Amino acid sequence: MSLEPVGDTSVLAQGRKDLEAGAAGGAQEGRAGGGGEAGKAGGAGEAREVGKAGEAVEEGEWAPKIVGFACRWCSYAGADLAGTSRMSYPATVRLLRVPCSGRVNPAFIMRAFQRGADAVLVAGCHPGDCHYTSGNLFARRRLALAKGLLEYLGMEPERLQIHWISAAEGQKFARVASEMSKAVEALGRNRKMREEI
Amino acid sequence: MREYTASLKREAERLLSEGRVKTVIAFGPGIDPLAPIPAFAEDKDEASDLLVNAFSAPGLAKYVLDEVGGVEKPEHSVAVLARGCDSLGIARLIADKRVQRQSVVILGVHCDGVIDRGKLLALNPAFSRTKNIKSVAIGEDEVFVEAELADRSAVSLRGRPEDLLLDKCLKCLERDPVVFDIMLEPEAGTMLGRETGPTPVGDRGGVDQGEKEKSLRARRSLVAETEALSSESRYEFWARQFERCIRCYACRNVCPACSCRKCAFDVPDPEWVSKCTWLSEQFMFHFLRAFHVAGRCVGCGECERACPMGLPLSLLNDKLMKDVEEMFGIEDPHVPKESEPLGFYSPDDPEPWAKEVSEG
Ligand code: SF4
Ligand code: SF4
Repeated sequence: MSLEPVGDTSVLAQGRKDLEAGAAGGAQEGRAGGGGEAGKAGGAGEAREVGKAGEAVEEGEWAPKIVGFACRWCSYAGADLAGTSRMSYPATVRLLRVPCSGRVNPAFIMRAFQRGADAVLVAGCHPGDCHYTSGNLFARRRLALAKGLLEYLGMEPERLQIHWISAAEGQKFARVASEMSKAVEALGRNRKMREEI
Repeated sequence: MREYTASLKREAERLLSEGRVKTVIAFGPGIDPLAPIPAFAEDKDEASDLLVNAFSAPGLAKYVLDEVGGVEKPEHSVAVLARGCDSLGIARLIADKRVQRQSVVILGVHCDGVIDRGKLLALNPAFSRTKNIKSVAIGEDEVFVEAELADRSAVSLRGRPEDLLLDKCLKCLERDPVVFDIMLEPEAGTMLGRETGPTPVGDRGGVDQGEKEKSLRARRSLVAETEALSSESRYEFWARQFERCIRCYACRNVCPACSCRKCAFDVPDPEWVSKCTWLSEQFMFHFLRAFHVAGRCVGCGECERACPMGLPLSLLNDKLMKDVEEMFGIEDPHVPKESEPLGFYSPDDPEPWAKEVSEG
């Protein structure tokens, strides 16, 4: 531990494990659904060479993986509300709970794309409603620059979205999740900045 | 760049003999007369070797961090030669509280640009046998270099600034220091540059607003060209650039805004970016490098100059600088201020993402 130079590496390490867990979960689902991502490692190489028809089948089975960073005080609760009120929204969004949208280091976003996310959602309290007064206002500046830079590097704008969702806005969460899911489905898999495993 | 060596030596000797500073950072002769190297004078003798000329390419700001005593040894003050770009870097270190203002004596000079040794040699390889630089004149539309070669013959060349000056000098934002203690006086009579006579001390009247505008326009138009590409082509463009990166970290080492004692790129067990150079990691590295200095980059162009692989790093920094100016209304974003653009907020900050999903 004495070698660790950065104070909060343990948090970072945890974050990475969470992301990996998220991706692994996705893979399992894929298998359950009949050889999506997980199947690819095995016979899919061949399947892809089958031609246009085979490709179409594979694309049909693919579902976007969206990593969502949700503030525990609002959006995470908002997602909970959507769930408990039995609103339907696609299960493509995997939520990671963060203490505040201000906790979201742009490196988290990059890492999610590296490890296979097709899109990233950052959801926090509405400006003015931050549990810590101003965390989301700092986040807003930082994310505005980070999103601009990410797009400048070639990422499609739809793949990084930022939304303010309060604890009472279960419906908004459900809408964001499905609209985002649709947008990403239209774009297809993300291959940019992604680690080839 | 006008001739400042004599007054540089004079001030260096004075500051050292008075005990005001322990080191004077400027340039000294290297192996190649066309490539003076950063030099650190600690006594009168060493001070007599100091120089600065139109071939002094490296920026000096970052060396201040290595030489200055820090909070523990405030008596270890340094003096440093500063052109506009150096002064921006020094101001950055001071604003980031890495260097205390009172521990650094800034010896300002006006700079009309520095000659790119590589460009010169490409135009006339004979310059590689240079023994002495005889004269240099840098004007708005023309640069003139004359040298004496090892066999005592003379060679000279006249060319356009873009063919002879460092790229970073072609988009220079500050020709005069933004902060200084002593403005060195150019030597009367030796006309190197387009003006004669000393620049008034403590007066930034020497800054040519028109030229700064021109530089800004050049930077902005490169950014706009890149922005105008499709996502696909932009990704391909950057992939082609990043693929060349060898992770030497020279860009980080010279950067006055990159001054953490322990860098996340150097840790033995990296959590965020490994030293692998596959494309995904390259994107991560370059995103982090650029974003880490977002709002703090002074536009000195040192990263791009130091990069051995010719990566267009300014194209990243300038994009962020443009966004900082446009989104947050920060004027002259390259000049270090009391607080950083990412260190405060305004309730009316823009949300450039509002368009993607309907809010209704
Ligand atoms: S990022 Fe490059 S241009 Fe900006 S301050 Fe650092 S070295 Fe200078
Ligand atoms: S200086 Fe150039 S090659 Fe070296 S790490 Fe920076 S970008 Fe890569």
